[in-house]
Amino acid sequence: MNRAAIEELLAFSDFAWRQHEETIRGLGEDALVKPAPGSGWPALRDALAHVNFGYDRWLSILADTPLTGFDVESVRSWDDLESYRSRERARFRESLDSFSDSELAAERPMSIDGETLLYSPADIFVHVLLHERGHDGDISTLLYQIGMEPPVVEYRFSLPATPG
Amino acid sequence: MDRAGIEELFAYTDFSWREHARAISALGPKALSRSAPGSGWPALRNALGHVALAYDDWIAELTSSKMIGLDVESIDVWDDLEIYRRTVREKFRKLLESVNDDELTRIRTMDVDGEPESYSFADILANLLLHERGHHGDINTLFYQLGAEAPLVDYRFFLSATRR
Repeated sequence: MNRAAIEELLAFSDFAWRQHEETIRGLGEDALVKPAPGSGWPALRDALAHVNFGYDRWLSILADTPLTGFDVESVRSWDDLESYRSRERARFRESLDSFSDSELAAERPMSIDGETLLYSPADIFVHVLLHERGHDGDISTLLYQIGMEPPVVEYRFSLPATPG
Repeated sequence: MDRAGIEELFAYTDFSWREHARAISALGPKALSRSAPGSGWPALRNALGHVALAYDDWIAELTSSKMIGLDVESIDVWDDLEIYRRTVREKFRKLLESVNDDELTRIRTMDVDGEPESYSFADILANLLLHERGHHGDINTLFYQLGAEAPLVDYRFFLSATRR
């Protein structure tokens, strides 16, 4: 996928995150830690932190640097989560901007879980953004389990308004 | 999103659908309709049918044609779903191939739930593919509730399966 498509997915994931923020902040801070035992996730914070861990993990692999890390159990408020999110999204932006278009598309060896695999930086960026998108459904089901209506986070709603 | 991005997401969602098909077939003949009440979906067939129905609905809208329709409650076996899915994805493919790049990205007014809204074909086709990806988390939850392991459908596994 090219840079323009990655930028679109990046903007979409920001939209989705903000929609979730608006909904979850509105439920009170307890919502993040309220048990939701039927989902496979202990609570909302675990799923949301995992999404951001995806950035940390893959940006660290791409840059061949250690994970920055985050203690999920310490999350008590949306702001706690937001600090991790902001840091990882800033790393994503910095990393994306550091590659020329040809570098972005060029496969390179990466050490992944003890294996050396070939991916381009673009592959990794798309992987991270689609990983986040894949977990939007987990967030929906978690909200359902704590008795709340999930927000609508469709791509089309993230597009800039166009005069009709 | 441009044509190449849409093609990439189309191929990716084909991969993820196949992985889900494989995992669900391993769960036995009634897996699609087995009750999973904590997810917001009655059963796997409802979430998977919803994903396929979205293609039908939007492509009918974009081509000013009628929906084929699907009676989700009548789905008993994977083939019931597969035949419908294949048909609506073929309609997607046909539409994508019937327009040139300018037509694909040209903003046009379309009727969405009785309201005129401005989108390009590309916007809606990308919306459909990302809609499907967004529901993978719901499907993960359904697998969890059925006591089964969800398949790995991350983008990088698609790349590994198709590129090399």
